[in-house]
Amino acid sequence: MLLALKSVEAGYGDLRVLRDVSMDVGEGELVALIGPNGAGKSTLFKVICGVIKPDSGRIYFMGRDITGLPPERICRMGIALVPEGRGLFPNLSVRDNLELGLYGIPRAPVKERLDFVYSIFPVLRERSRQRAGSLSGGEQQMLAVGRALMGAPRLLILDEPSSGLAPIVVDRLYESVRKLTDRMSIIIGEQNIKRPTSIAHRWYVIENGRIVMEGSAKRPAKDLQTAYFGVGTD
Amino acid sequence: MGPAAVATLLVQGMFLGGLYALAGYGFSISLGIIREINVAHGDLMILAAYISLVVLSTWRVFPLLSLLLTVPAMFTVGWLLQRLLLNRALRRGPSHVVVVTFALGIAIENLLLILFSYNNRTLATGYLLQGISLGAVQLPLVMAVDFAASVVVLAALQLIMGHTMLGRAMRAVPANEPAARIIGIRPERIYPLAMGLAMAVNAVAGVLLGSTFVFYPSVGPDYMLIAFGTVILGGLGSLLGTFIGGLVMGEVFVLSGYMFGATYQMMATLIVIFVIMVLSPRGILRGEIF
Ligand SMILES: Nc1ncnc2c1ncn2[C@@H]1O[C@H](COP(=O)(O)OP(=O)(O)OP(=O)(O)O)[C@@H](O)[C@H]1O
Ligand SMILES: [Mg+2]
Repeated sequence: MLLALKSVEAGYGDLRVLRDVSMDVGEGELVALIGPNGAGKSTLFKVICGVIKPDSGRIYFMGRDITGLPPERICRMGIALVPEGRGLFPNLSVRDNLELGLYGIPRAPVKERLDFVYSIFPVLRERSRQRAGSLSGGEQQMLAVGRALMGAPRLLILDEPSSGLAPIVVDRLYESVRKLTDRMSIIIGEQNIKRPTSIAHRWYVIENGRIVMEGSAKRPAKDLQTAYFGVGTD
Repeated sequence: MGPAAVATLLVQGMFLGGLYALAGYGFSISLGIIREINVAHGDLMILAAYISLVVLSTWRVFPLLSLLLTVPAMFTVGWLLQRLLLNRALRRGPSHVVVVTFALGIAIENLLLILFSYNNRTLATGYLLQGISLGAVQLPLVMAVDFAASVVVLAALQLIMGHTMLGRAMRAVPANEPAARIIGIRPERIYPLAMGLAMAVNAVAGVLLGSTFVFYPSVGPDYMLIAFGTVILGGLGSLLGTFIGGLVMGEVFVLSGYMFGATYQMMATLIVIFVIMVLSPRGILRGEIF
């Protein structure tokens, strides 16, 4: 297993959000985490990245216990999060935003990584000198993913990448993401079911901070929809 | 009044403005990146001038050579100040920084008073005070040095901010702090470096103003006011704006001094700041760099 969570509990102050969450992500696997508003997806991702310390449970990455490590250590080990709302620096240029994806990674091959990101999202090369805040929503999401790719992560986590984007833009983004699975493992968190489960190898459903269901590509999304009618489909 | 006299006034204002901008850069950095108001900014600038005074009384070298010691000393002072005191104050809210640095300013003033008395001092030597002529314009050499230093420091800061990873991180933190943490930047580590940089620049400002004018322990707050003016005039978060803000203040200061006399210089400058703030509340350049 690349990533393994064992009975993780976490929250904010006295508020316990995640309860007994266990999940695995294998090498080269694309895993979807489906859950409605406030289910705890973003909280779970922040715990994996070390931004929030879990109250109990353990997290293993590449066989090493990373529970409680600070974010900069976890980033350097090869986990990159594209946060909800994209987490860009709007007044910095596209190029600066991308290069910040290499923060804390000394002697990284900057040119090579930039070329790699530009090969996936060519529009970013054209816009490289523009302010990130001046990009369209879809371009901003590409930039956010591109920045995460700069560090050549082993595990890429996307928190609601489709939010605020037109369906056709989401389709293109998902196509780009799917192509990345031969290089890295990916977790996609979304509220809707159809799109992420259509490309995921496996999926989990989270509700009120608990994993309530899990399955694989073999268990069709239709099955999931009937069980999971609390949330709209796309 | 002939064209040569007008040109002299304008160039004098420009050069003075360069010095004012130099006083402002460090304030611009602490306000724009750390988002804290360092009330002791002017006192720390004067502290740098006194450090330079001690260096120069030990080794009788050309005044600007003292920067070799004063700049690293002030970088260390800034780093320690942020790391030990201001990071903690900041966690409780920006107003705590104001209180802490206000007290720090008073402490510095009193320390300087005990060590050096209230006498006027200067770092300038005959050489720096010699007149130079640029065409028809006659001015002391030191003012040209002030302006040149201001431009060089601005260029160096732009280079650091725009083309180094540390500079990118310094701009990223105020732009989106949670996102900065997610990509592994620790603001509490960035702030001491930013404050160190601000104080290194402040050392250059202190040494140059100490070579241009006389200074005494309680003059710091005057320069803090000037630094504040250049930054809000130029727009928060833009070093080029701070430079332009400095030039505007320098010109207003010199021209109003010529027209109305020295008594009204500061008032005229404050009126201009006020008018520009009403017309363009975010300053001349609307803060795009940080
Ligand atoms: N910074 C915070 N402080 C306190 N409570 C929080 C904070 N962030 C989230 N919560 C709470 O934690 C719970 C889970 O939130 P979280 O953001 O993880 O959900 P989510 O699944 O990502 O939802 P969404 O799909 O709306 O993004 C919610 O009840 C939320 O109110
Ligand atoms: Mg969320």
